[in-house]
Amino acid sequence: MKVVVWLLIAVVLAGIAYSFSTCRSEQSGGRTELTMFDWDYAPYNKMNRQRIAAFEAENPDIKVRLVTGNNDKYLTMVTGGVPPDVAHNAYQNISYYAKRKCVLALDKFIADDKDFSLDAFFPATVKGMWYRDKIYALPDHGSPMVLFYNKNLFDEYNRNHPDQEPLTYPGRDWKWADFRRAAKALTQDRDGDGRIDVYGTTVGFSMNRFPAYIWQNGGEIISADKKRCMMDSPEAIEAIQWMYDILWVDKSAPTYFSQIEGASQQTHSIFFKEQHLAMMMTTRWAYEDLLKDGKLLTDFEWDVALLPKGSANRATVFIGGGWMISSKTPYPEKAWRLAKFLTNEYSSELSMLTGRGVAANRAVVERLVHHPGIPPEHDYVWVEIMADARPKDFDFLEMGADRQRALDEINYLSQGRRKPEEACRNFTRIFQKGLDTLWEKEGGP
Amino acid sequence: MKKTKTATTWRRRAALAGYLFILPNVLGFLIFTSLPVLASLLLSFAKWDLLRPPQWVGLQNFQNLLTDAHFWKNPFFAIPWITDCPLEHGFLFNTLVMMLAIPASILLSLFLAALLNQKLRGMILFRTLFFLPSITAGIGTMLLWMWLLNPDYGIVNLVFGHVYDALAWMASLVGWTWASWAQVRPAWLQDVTWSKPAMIMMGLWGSMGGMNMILYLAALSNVPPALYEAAKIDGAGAWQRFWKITWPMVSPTTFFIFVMSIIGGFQGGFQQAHIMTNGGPAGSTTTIGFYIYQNAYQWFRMGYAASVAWLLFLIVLVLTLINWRASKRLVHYG
Repeated sequence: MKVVVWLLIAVVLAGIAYSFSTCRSEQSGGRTELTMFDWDYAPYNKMNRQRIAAFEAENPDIKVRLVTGNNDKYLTMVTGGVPPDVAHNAYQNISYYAKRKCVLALDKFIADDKDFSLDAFFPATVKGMWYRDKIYALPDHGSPMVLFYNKNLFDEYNRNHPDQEPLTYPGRDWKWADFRRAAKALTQDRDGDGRIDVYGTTVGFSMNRFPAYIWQNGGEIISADKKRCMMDSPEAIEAIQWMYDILWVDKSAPTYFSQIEGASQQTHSIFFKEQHLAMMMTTRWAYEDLLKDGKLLTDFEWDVALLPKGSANRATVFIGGGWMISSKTPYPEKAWRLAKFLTNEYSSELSMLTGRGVAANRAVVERLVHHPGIPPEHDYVWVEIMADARPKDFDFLEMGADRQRALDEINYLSQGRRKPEEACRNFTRIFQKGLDTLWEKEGGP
Repeated sequence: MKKTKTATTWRRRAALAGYLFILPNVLGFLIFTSLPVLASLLLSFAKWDLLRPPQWVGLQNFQNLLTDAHFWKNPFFAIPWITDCPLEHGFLFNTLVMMLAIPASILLSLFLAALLNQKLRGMILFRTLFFLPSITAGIGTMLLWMWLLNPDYGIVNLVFGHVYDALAWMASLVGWTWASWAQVRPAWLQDVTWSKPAMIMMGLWGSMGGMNMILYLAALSNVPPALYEAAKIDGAGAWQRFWKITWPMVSPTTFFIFVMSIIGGFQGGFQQAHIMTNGGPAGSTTTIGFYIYQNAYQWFRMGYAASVAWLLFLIVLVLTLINWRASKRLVHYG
């Protein structure tokens, strides 16, 4: 009896000890074990296992253990004192960890490594990896918005409306007015039951979408010194008014796709796939939903184009992520080798083929987006649009609930509960309060 | 004498063995439950962003909480000392509204249990079917509900649309003109007004056929048939038999379900908000549980999150004590 009890206790204690021991990087059998963290998603896990196998083959002195999860898990690991040596995170989170010295500045590694150059990456992706005057991550991918469109629906409209000015496919000369006209024309209630069967487009009021229209119109969310919210400027109000009109005046976009929250995020592309949407402005992540039997959809003709141009320029929001190295890693040089490998051409190609946005590695993207005869025909717009991509400078600010409440104003607007000017002024008031509180607490930007 | 000593030794050994057997559980409880609870209490008096050492701020978090309109704002009465907030409703109100599903869920569970308590062929199949939502993966059902609730193409609006059209047709017979369904159809999860009813509807679907129904089935099977027979002989009708026999006899179960639902209701709404709405639109589906999460993991205000959690604990504690007191009059342990 006694033996059984002690055995039981020993097993429990051994289990606890093992669970703690496996969290740490270690050196065993002459090989250093590094932990690598990435989002927990089956296709990414498969991709990462391939990357790890290739890395280990090149670096026999290193063994990589993959840990997967989301930012909550990563944060918990860092807080718990067992941070992964190399970790992927969304670019807007990088400053949070950099500011608290949880990750290493990579400037010295970059300067010392003759085989590595930041010039290999799209500048927008690199820009998102900085905090103040240092770079804290290597860019993995980005995902700016472009315009997806269903060619068949354009053709159908032209066939059915010979008396109207024909709709041209979206191209680089398209402006807001062209887009709005096409969206309105393509919206159809085919059976006359009062329910829209095909919407012309979607309008995104999320923080990952609407800033693009404001930038396109020459406006800004915050001033260059990050001290003043500028959402009440005429340029910003005009851009928001344009979005609002598509939604509530023309009714050429479903109001329920315009929300900020998660429910609507993935469904745009499904509706596009089902031909309930003629156009959508979204990121390359949508390709994942447009797959059929592992290949991009060919049930109907579709393509991608640059965003329509606003009065000022063709800006788009940069969303993406990068690889950080923990400041607690006992093996910074080996961690650097791993981080570097994860952004090289081999890893980037895998990432791109897995559907993780647009790889940050320019050469890879340029190679993969040219595929004559295979749709989408203008896939190379992903390269072109990178020149217009901008990280959201306001996303680095730790404003908590004030940021959320400011966004709610845009949300109310998208539901028709606020007029554009009112929403923009409310947004500015709430956001400014958050900015003032933040800079008061932190002593300035 | 010797025999007594042996018995004592045996009892001691048995007790020791017992303690040793529960030791892993107790250790686990102490390490993974008690310590975090204690830590959260301490943290509620601190400011902590998780990555820098906590700073002691005394009662500041609780003072902030008392003036936090995100938490308290409600459509019924103004609280003079709360700070202004653009939200239509605070998160306590959201939580309470979503808890309106509790009485309906209890009654529906009892109703289902009564139906499934019949001795009919294939009843096991029905019991299984009604219990399925409880064992189906939450994320899967939530994603499914997101499609069911799609304003244009969801089944929910399709069904309601037909009902509405029929009513509109009848209204037109007496000269009333109703707006078309396309104009008035709810946008459910994407509308501030309809998001909470959508959550309630989904919650009811998940809870009425779940564990509560099983508990009621067990309780119903324990009601002595003789009581019903005697009542029938005395001329009691079906309603009287339910109200005078079934309801009192299952009242301990009802009490248990009610107390647990209240506790669960105050803590609930996190999964739905996290997966389906991110607490929106405009905070309309943010419950206290999700607000705690937002503060802790999105805004890195762990101390404030802990103070909200402790206020939630106090609310639940007081309500549970009230429930216990009320139970003395309302629950029959026959």
